Amino acid sequence: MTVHVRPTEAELGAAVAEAARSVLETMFFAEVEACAPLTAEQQQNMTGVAVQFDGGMRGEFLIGFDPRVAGVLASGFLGADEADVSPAEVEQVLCETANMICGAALSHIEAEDHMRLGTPGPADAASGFASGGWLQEFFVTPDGNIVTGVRLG
Amino acid sequence: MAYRVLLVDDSPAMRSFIRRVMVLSGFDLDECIEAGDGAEALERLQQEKVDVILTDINMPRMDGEELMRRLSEDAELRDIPAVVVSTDSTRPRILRMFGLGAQGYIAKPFSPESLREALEKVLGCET
Repeated sequence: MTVHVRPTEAELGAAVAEAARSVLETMFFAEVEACAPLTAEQQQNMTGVAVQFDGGMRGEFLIGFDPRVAGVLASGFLGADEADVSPAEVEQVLCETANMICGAALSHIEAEDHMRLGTPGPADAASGFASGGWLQEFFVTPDGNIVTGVRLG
Repeated sequence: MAYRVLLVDDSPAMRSFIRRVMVLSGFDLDECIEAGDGAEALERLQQEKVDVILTDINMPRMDGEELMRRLSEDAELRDIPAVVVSTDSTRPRILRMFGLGAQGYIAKPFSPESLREALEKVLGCET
């Protein structure tokens, strides 16, 4: 029988932060550093993606990107000029980014357990984060900010 | 020798990324055939000969586990080496995929070098 121990906030936060850094640096060759918490105003216009997960833990992952970061990440991931990347392609790349960060963090926390990720989809980052209960991590890149949040059910 | 790869992933963005990374990493790619899920992959395998299969797990219609199960049951397809590329790197999942016949497992995020090395290993080649 698997005895599931809920991770502490510090463990969960560290896993998400490491996963975000690893995904952004390895798959996007992006320079990324942790930064001070952003205000609600700074998160207002972010492009968001949400992923539901269950398995050993159940909850939700939400990530917000400054619009400029979203375009740069999509362009780099697809190897195309920003002007040639469509909004639908930006959305695909951001969904894949959310999937990878959430999956990598949960795989680290639940290495001996099982997990299931839902299909990532667009979300309103500002109102999502404003709903409260999130364990947030904040990042800065040369092109703007990224915010991640995890909320366990 | 250049290789024909079947790339199975429901994300067009990820397929585009993997295709590009295979080339950038120096892997000798002849042709990359793409499928959006396991069912489409099986259809493509009826029409195309490939040297290696790269497959995601979490996909609609037919996921990577079911694809591996179907491949293992098919006398003509079971010998094609398959490498799993997934965000899920939990131990039970990895063991299950190897049990179904996967010969390699790449956890996302991955570097271009690790992708090339995994392909070289299952193909028994040096590119």
